[in-house]
Amino acid sequence: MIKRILDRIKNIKVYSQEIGLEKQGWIKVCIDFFFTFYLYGLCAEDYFIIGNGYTLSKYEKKRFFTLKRAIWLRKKVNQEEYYHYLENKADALKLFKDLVSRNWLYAPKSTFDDFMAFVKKTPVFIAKPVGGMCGEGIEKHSVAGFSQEKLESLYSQMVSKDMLLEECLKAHDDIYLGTTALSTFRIYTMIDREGEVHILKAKYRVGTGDAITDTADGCIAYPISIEHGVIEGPGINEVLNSKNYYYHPGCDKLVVGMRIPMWDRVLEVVTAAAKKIPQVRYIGWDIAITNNSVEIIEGNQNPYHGTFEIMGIERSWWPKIKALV
Amino acid sequence: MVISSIISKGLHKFSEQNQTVPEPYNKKIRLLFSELWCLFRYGAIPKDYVRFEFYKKSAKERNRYLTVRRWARNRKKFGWHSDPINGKIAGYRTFADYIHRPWMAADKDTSAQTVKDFIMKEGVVFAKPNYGDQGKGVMKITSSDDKAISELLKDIKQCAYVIEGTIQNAPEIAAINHSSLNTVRAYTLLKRTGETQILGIMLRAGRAGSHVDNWGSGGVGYDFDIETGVCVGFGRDKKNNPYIFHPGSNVQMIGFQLPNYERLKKLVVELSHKVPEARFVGWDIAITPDGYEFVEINCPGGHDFLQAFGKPFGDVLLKELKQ
Repeated sequence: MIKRILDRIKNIKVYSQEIGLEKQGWIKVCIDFFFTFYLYGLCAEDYFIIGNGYTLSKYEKKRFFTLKRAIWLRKKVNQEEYYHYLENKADALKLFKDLVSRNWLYAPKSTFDDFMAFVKKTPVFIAKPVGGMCGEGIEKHSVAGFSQEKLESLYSQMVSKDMLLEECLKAHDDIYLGTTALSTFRIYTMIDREGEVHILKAKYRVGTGDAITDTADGCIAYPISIEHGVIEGPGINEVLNSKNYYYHPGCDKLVVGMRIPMWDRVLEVVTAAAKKIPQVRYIGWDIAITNNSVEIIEGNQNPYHGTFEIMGIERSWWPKIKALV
Repeated sequence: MVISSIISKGLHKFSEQNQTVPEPYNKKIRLLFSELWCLFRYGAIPKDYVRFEFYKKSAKERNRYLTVRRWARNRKKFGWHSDPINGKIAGYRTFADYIHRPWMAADKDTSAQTVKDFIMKEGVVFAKPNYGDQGKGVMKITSSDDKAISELLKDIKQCAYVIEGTIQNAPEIAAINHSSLNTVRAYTLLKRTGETQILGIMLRAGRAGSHVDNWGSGGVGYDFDIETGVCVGFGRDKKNNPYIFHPGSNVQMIGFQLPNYERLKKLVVELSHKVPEARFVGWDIAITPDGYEFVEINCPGGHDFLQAFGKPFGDVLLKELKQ
């Protein structure tokens, strides 16, 4: 316990130095941080790293959508017994079948013949652990030129790993930034007491280099204006906490100001999806836009809260979210 | 009597200024005390308080802003009223090499015929008072408008004017708003080491129908990334309303790239070394089809527009002066 506290204090000292607060005396900063954490729930990420909570007045901190509040919200409005519709990718695809047009197969619930039919149609596919999160355990396979034995072995491997196989999607040409990973849109929705769906925040997540997922370390998230469907500000690397990406690293294409194609359809799809599971009122949806369709990738019942207060023009989300609860 | 008039004027100004404060920060009593405290502690007048959104900021963050009191106290150190740039006429003479449009200085000694000849030759001119800011007193005069010409001739007897030919915007800049000359405002700080730091690059575009782009006259300001010359955020008007698309023309401003940006940066750095005593400067530069055109120098640069996009510069500027 004492070691944990000492470790935290050490971390605070480092964070204070990083953002130039050391002149005010790190003990003062430490006290302010602990009070802020205790009273409003701002974690180190909210206060120091990317939330810039230390720049806010007490009044503004009261209105900050903090980690503690995000946890409270999830417990309050999301019914745990329905989480499997979002956490289990196979259940999710069944629930949202009319909003999904890509080819998919849940290996453990399919025969080898089903698998053969799938790979014939989709020789390059993505395999995801059915209950996986944050892009962990995702594999990309290409079966072109595979012998029967190799296919059988791959099938049994997929079954044993409890994998969901999906057709590889390619981002719409207008928003494709030359990345290996499929770039997705994270859109936060919340259903109010009257059952109306509110779209709270949206961001475009783009991987870098040859990462398979857009949530890997190099991923950059760009805020989107919900009203206009335009990237409205610089991107942020949410994992490495670096800010102000106007051009996407690697391809050097200007992302700020980019218009999102089929944006109205995106909003329609997330609204329809949210209505399908009204028991989970607060969801972060992952959406892909291809040349032909808008695809739901998945819904997250515990989406990253930090997005609300670090991106885009609208801040101080807590009173707005609380009003919907 | 005098005190009550001052109080009533103050309260009127207070309520007028705070109309743009959004809910829930606009509770009057709370706001009044907070503004008074900020005036006393940081030298921020209500205009600064609202413009820099002090109602959202912590004490530490407020302290990082260059408020009107700090600006006024230090303006001499920043280079205010240095001889080579004291007034528009002096400024135009100092930077004559960077002005490609025809211009003339007119004061009480200038003959009416000279002024008339200039206007006739140019067809359309702008007349700017020697000392004036925010587009106040700027007149657009056409050669056929006798009434405006005689008004100008009358004004010239009272104060000096700069009369100049029109500047044409580059097509991509004109598309934002056709009726006004839309100019870049570049802020520079000439450090003691002789190095120039570009503090901000903004573009001001007028409203449809307006012939000036100034903020005070309803224009919208857009903030650009210093490194790349790309518009990276929402535009703001004087009432702090955010814009992605320019009102009137609907041109998307986020992601807008300034043409020949590297040249602009070079020009700004070059200009900043011309008058070394002018250390904190706001340069107005027009983007024309042929390149860049010097419009005017503002020394010291206005503290409000520079910091209106959420970036405080008080600590940077005051630290530099202290060194």
